[in-house]
Amino acid sequence: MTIPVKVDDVICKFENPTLLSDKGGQKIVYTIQHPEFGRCVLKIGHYGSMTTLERIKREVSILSSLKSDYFPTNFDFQVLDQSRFFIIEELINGHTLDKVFRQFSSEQESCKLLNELLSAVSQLWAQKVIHRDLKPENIIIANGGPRILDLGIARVLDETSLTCSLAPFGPCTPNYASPEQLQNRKKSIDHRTDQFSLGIILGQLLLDGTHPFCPSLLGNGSSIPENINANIWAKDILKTKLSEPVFYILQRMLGHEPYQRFRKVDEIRDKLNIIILGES
Amino acid sequence: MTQLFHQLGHRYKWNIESFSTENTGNGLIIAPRYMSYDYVNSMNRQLKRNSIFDPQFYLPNSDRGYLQTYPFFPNVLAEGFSTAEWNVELAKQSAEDCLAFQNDCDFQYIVIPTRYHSTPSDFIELQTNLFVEPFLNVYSSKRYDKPCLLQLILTDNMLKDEQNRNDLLNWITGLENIAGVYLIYYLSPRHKQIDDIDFLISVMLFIRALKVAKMTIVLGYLNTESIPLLVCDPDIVTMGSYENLRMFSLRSFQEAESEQRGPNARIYVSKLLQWIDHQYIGIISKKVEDPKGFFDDTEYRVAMFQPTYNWHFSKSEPYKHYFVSFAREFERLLSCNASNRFSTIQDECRKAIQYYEYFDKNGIIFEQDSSGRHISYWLTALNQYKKILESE
Repeated sequence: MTIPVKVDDVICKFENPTLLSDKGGQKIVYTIQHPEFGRCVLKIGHYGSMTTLERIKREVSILSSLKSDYFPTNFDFQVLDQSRFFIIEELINGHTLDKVFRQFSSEQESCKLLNELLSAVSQLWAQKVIHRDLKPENIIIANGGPRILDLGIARVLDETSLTCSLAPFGPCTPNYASPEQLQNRKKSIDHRTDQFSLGIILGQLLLDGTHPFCPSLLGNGSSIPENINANIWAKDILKTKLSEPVFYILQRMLGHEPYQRFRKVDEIRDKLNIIILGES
Repeated sequence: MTQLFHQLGHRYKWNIESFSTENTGNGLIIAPRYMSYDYVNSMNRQLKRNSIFDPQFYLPNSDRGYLQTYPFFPNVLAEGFSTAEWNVELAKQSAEDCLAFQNDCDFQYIVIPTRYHSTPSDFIELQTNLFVEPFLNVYSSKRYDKPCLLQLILTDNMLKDEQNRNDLLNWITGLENIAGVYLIYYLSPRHKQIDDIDFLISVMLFIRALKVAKMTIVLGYLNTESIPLLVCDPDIVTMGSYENLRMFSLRSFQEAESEQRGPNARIYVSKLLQWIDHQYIGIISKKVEDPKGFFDDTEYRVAMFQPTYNWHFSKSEPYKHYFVSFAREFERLLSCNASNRFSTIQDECRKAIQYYEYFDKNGIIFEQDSSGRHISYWLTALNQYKKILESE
């Protein structure tokens, strides 16, 4: 049974705490008024094990080192008693991508957004960090462009993996996970794993929000992760619907094996720029 | 556009002479087993710019030939190589000296060496720890501007098994700083010609996947299967003189050249896509209308067809004849555009099969290594590969 995380002794230190989300009591998120940083986000959570704590510390460390407009700024992190921690980070105003898919349904708009998302995640990749949980709910469309949240399961390629679980698949959101994540092939996970998730998001933008591996679209009774594993997606529908250059990008990004995807981010961006500038 | 390089080895001067004076091929692959450190250092610089240095670490404990003259060769550096004692420090030292040597010599590429591993289960891990990581770290830290090739020796199981092939491709394409691979395949046992349909298709798919990933592909130690492999647009294919330069083998790194048994003397016949035993020359000449045209016309053919010519596998003429005739054949095939090249190579195979059928009807029974049985396999592999491409 999950014991709700104790929050009273923390939130009482800040002005105007407003509950933002409560994920089953293990991690509670508030907006607060901070005397130094203004309106910001307070996350209070339990760490069940030292592995979890290491993972949280890593997220904080990555965010602190990035200093990028594409990711929320981390202001503070503290480990508390009773296996608790809190994080204070920048509040990003905007809507998560899943709420505003239709803003990006044209090929050009989709490609522009993908280009920005690639700019963002390539900052992680340059530091050998793989996000591993890119999904519309983790992308906020703010005034200044997209912002990416939740590096909680990011993996630093040069470090020993923190996840040694016997779970059938590695840490991820299965509907946006690559085949190598779903099959828990850790050695195959690299920046192209994130590229696959971005490919799903691109497909979803181009299908007005419908997931490209969605069983109702494909007319089969499998789940989305089963279709991802079986490499069954709305290829024929999208081939008919999309221009050749956009379909090529999508098809490569959704390559079942990492080697089938783009090897270098510049290659995708060069192709996107041609489409964005209307040169195709 | 695919280039043709000479794979150097024993009697490498024949290749250099043919390359320099007869313009056969586009470059050389240098072999330290046969060429000393001082010799390579003193070679003409322009020649080296057109060349690739193959460090030949295949058997790191080898003490054969001139390998001992290279201070970065594992057996020299470690004063007797053993896997257990080969550590990060030694690998780093070897990497620094080996890569600096390649860079200073101004070779076209910088090659990260490989050793031969017979067990594919932990191939990637062994390769990464022993060579790839230390060498790539040095390559990156020194900021060499020459493109870097990763050398690999792959067995048929590593290429034919889809999961093994995918793992390898995921690993190779995930190495950020390499420009491509210098691929050697090792088949044991093998016939003189590749006659395994699945293997050929696997090699084709492997090359194609790397080309889609915009990687450079150098194929070493090729026999004439380089012709069907041209449909995958590798960047460099190779031709060599003696059989051990056209079929990768570890024997030359285990034994002295003099200990190796010599094969029958053969001549390459481009119309048959095969090296045939010289004993067939006389009877074939009587069965074809234009013997001079049938056996590729080179100055070496003229010399070899003299009645007094004493055929022996160690003589230069059959190999120099091969260099000239194969380079011509290669140029002709490359002059076709990509789609025509595919059908032209298929046609060449069909014509060779027809020739063999004609000779068979005329009572010429070829011994196994002179026969054309490999060509049907090549043609089948080409047809199947084309179907795979069309289905995508």
